[in-house]
Amino acid sequence: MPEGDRRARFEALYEDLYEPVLAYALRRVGEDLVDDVVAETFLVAWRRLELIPPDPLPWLLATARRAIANQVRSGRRNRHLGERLRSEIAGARETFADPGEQVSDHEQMVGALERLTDEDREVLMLVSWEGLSNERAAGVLRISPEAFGVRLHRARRRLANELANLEGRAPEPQDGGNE
Amino acid sequence: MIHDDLLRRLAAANPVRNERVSGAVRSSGARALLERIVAEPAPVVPATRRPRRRVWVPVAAVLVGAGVFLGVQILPEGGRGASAAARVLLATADVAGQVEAASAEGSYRYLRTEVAETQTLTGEQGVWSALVDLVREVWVAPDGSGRQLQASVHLTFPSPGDRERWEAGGSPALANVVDEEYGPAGLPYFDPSELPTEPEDLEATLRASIRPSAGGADIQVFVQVADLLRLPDASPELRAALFEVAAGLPRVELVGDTTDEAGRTGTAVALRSTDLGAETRTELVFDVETADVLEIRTLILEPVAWTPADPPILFAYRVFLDAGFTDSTDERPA
Repeated sequence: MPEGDRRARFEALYEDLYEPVLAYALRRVGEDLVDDVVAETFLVAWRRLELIPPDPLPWLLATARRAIANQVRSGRRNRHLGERLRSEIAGARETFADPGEQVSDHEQMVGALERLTDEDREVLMLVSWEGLSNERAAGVLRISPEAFGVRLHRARRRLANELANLEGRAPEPQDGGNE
Repeated sequence: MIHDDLLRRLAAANPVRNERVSGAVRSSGARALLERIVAEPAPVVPATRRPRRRVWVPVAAVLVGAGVFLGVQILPEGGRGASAAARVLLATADVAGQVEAASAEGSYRYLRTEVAETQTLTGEQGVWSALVDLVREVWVAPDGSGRQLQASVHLTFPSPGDRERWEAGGSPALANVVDEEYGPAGLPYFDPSELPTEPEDLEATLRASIRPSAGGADIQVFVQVADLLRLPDASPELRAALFEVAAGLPRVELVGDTTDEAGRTGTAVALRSTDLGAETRTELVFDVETADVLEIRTLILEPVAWTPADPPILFAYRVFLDAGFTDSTDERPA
């Protein structure tokens, strides 16, 4: 690919998807790591531009996911998810029109989320927070949409159970164990 | 649109709404990052990480491989081909590092492989050869117990003359159907988590385990890479390191787009050798999008005495079909 075309293609990609990648990182790591994660993601994209598929967002989020793992593995501690999200929600408390019930619900949801495994949490966040379809979310995890559907089903049930525990309700039924 | 109350409640708890990052791409930080990135020259990956001494041994190797040569684009050895192979392998290493390992829930590791190897026999009718193809399934637990099932035996003759001589010799069976259960230590079991995941350390470990009697060291490392990549419990870090080891092998060349014996499309890289007494090319076929390894195969590239067939001759291959975990030796992964 000629140098000029390559740069133009990358700049278009950057313009379109910088913000979703930034949001993805902000939802998963502390602000001290976000810049490094976003920079590493787009640097890899620049170097591997010819390998990026026609729908680039799942590829970029998969790369961001690996960048987060690299940052954490390299010793840069990620602030605990629950602690960070509670802080985010507390910061937003003043801006909610009806702070009481809504914030409480959000805090319980975050509490339930943080009790899940990393795998379950990621599956749920890709769908609910990144707003991806099952097929695109499966692309982030490099698994088939069918496998993603199974993981989402299980993760959703575990989230419901954790939420029920926090709210003092009975857990959801187990679908007869047929997974 | 989320049609699920629970997921909708979760979405509502999203602490970083999209509105919060709206316009961030126009910030000074984002513009500076873009300029820093595009200032980096377009990547050129070196062909090899460092020169290595080749080790040659005068024994025919048990090479693996062969396969579909139709539609394979052969690039010149060395030069652009070698550099391109390293580039593709390193890019695939990136992908491999992002693909999560299969869930290792189950007592047995299950592998299904189509295996083929050329057998050459001498009888009253003269020398004849056949490619013996079969499907092998193995269930193995960490203690070495398990089951091996071998079926679907099929013969392919490199020339009509080979078939005629086989038939004249009474059409002898060249492989048996096998279905055997094994107790502890009955089957080999290897735990891939024992391997280092730094490429340099990994390559040193692989080279330390090769057998001098089994042919060229680089080819053996190449084959080990394939066998380890197909293990369902190989970690993303190990799989990435394995692709990096292959990228660093001397004279690894890009073959290009190809199709494996199961009809799956992939990309092949190869190493050449003379371990069989003729020039051969052992090809590793993999999917660059998923980092799945599909097949390893060996082609003979020049005429040989034991068959009148014209080269390239498909000598042997292993097609990596299914892999996963099961709770019993009667099950297959979903």
